Amino acid sequence: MPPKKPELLSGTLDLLILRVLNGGPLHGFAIAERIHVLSRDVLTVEEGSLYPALYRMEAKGWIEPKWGISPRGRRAKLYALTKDGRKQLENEQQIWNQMVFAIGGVLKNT
Amino acid sequence: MSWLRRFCYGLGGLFSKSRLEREMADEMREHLEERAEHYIQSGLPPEEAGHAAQRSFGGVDQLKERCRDQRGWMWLENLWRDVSFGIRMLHKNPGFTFTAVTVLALGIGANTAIFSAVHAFMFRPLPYDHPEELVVFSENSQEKHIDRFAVAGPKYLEWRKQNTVLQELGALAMGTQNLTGATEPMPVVTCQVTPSCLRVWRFHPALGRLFAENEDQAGKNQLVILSHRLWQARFGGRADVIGQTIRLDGKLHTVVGVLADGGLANWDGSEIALVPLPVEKVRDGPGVHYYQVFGRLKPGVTLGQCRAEMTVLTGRINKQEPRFGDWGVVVRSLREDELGEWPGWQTILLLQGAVLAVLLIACANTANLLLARAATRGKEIAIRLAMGGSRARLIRQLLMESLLLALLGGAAGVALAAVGLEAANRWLATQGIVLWTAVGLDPDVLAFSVGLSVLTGVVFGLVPAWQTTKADVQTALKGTSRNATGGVAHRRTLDALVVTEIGLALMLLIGAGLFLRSLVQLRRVNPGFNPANVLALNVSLTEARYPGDEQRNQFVGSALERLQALPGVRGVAVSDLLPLRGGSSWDLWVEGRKPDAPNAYGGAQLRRISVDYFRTLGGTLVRGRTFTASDRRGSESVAIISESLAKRYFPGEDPIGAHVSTGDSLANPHTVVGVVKDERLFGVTSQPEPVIYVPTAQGWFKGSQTSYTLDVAIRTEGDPLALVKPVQAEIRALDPGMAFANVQPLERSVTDSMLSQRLSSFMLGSFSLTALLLAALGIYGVMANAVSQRRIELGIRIALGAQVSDILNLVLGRGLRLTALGLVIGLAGAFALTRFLESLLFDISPTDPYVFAGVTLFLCAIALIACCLPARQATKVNPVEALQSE
Repeated sequence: MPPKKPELLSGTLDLLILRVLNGGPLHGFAIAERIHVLSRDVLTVEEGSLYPALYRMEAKGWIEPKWGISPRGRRAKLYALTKDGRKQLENEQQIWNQMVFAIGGVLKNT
Repeated sequence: MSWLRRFCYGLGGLFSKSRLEREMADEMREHLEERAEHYIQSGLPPEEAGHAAQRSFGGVDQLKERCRDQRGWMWLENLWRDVSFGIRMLHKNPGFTFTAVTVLALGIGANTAIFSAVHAFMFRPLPYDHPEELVVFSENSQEKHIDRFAVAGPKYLEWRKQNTVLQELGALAMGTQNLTGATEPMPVVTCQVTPSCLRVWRFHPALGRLFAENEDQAGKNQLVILSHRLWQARFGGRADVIGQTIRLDGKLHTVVGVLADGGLANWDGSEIALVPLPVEKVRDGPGVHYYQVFGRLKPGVTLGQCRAEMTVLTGRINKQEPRFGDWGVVVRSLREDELGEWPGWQTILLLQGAVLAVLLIACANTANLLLARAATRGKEIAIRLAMGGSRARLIRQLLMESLLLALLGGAAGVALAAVGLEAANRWLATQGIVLWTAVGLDPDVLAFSVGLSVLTGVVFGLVPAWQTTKADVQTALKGTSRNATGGVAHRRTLDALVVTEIGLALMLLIGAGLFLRSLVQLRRVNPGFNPANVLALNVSLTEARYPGDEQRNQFVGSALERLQALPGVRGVAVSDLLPLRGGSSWDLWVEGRKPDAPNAYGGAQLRRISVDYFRTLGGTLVRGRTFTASDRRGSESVAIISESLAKRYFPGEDPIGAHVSTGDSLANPHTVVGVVKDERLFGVTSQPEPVIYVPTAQGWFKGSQTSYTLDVAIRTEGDPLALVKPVQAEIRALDPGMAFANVQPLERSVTDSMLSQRLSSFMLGSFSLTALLLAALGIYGVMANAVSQRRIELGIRIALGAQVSDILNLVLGRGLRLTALGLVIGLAGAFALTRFLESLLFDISPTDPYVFAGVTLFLCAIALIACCLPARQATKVNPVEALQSE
């Protein structure tokens, strides 16, 4: 039996989206693709999780929509990081690093 | 700043909803297309790529719904959507809406009306300056078995002198005097007050001034203050009234002031003249209980502290002055005092409980209606669940519909209550009843109604909303619309509602039945006199015109003679007070007994009567004789006593020939010459009291008034009111200045004394009939609904050869089981609760078996009828049609 594909850890989707958007505005499809590619095909973001997350983050003011052109040449809704979003990214990244360090420590020493 | 942006974002979302929707749709379509293109590039054929993209994307509409929920301010948007959807649904089913709103309006309206009374009597601050400081003093006597009684003047003076807890203490005595002058002679209510009493109440003059401290002394007290109403009605509201003189009972009084409007608070509706209470009258007789006493607590003093000090003080005073007897002090807050009067708070609370029960039944009924409708909406709900509507959202929306219904019902109910209260106030006015506080709709009551409506909407909406959205999507969509929600849980809910309704209705009906029977018992009581066909009226003989007993006796003699000669008159008598027109207690001694013997000293009602009194009023002589014309001034002083007095002071003895003295200044002692059956002087529910009757011919009591008031009783052959004009003409022929008061048939006084019982019976009766009607509708609705849902099953049964009786059994069986269960619960509830009614019932047990059995049978019969109609429908099901229809 092949090893199961790891599922997205809960709470990390926001972090991934923020991180991906840090490179510049993207539309929904591109965000999902970028995460998929950057994770070397390990992580797949379901549309069913992606869009509610985008709308939630928009409501929180971390990202803001802009209308632009998709790589396919269509009018598309692009999401860009706001100042609050950048701050949030820094926060979450820091928390994540601490978490990895902590879990790694536990795993190494037992 | 971020909250501001979010605020704008949310607000923007509300106003550009359609644009946001369009953008969301565009965004997702774009995503799908891009995904499909992706698949094509990786080698899938185009049509398969489209499907694969769809599959990986999942349900677009579910996703949209979840995205919408993420957007800020969604709740407000949803709210608006739910409201407008709810309005559309209600508009689409006008029959359902009308029924539900009517049922709810009845429930909420009744609650609003009764609550406005509860609020007015129990919660609203009394209309005085710092009303919480006001206390009412009265006296009680264990020896005489009297809980509360008017205060003796000298006792009041001692209290005022010695207490340390009161800012001020005042006394007043109400009476009637003839106002003569510019208009036709008219009786006005006079309120004799100590100057301190005006300060207790903190009255303010609109014109002129109040009484000064020493203006209650002889020679200085010919003054009067007019109530605002009296000033407006009789003096045209003119400012020059100050300094004018008016005649009260023939005596000149100078007008010194007019009270501010609203200043008299609970007496504002009346035309009242305030005169100083002469201090020498107050000093009179420690045995004469005549005054109402009011005090104002010093700031910081509690009612309990006041009660404690006054009790100790009174004990000390009684020891110093033995003539005060054992009269103790009763201290009550003004609110307690007012609540003790009609309509008693117990009755109001009872009615509030009753209308809450009616509202609960109305809720159950509306829930029934909603559930029945849910059956037809099952498919719609299932589709919406399948389309991604979350259950919470659907419940919210269904609840919004119930809330709208409840608010509509509440609005209609408030309108109903306004009309009802208006009618009730008008009716009270025609009965001459002045409430001490206005009962009507005010902001507090309206807030109560709105709150109650919302609560009602949640109560009756929650269960149906829960039930309806529980529908299993698969079966709901597969099955027929009728079966959609016909599950076991659904039916149980309906059954529970019907059982509740029947139980509540039974409890209410039993309550009403008890009151009705109590009223019947009341009417059966023999009050000791026959009030039918007796005209009663009150005249007053002023001291100015009738200075001595001789003049007064002469007037009485001529008046009786003249009235007796009128056609249609069977008998005429006078008394200082007729039954049901008040009274006061007097000290009484039996002569020749040791002062400390148990039956030597006590209290009794004292009545001065003319010769024909008992014959005219229909009293019954038990022993001895009644008065005759030879019982005159100068002859032996005589008295007739009531059976109660005989029993109390002469147990096992013959009172005839005994000598008794009373606490007034009459020729004492009196020789007892007769015993009569008890008259119930204070209403038919009152206990018989000891009464001593003495002849008017042998002396008059000099009261604190400046006139001698006299009740005249005329027994007539026909309608007593027909004789009002001739009787007044005859008396005016003797004295053109005579004013008449309280002109009415004596029977009116009897029915008035039962007013509270009649009113509560009537209201409880109408509430419980409403409840009955609602419960009958409820059980009918459930049964009819069940029959229509089971049409196919019934059709099959009939097709397979079921007889009419089988079908009837099937349908009736369920209805009757529910009824029986409801009745059991209702009976248990009634047994538990009716004992709280005991004090309100007269001469009937709160678990009267006739009422319990009768009402149960009655409700049973109604339920049977409500079940029979659908059952008959069931037997008429045409199997062919029923099976084809689906």
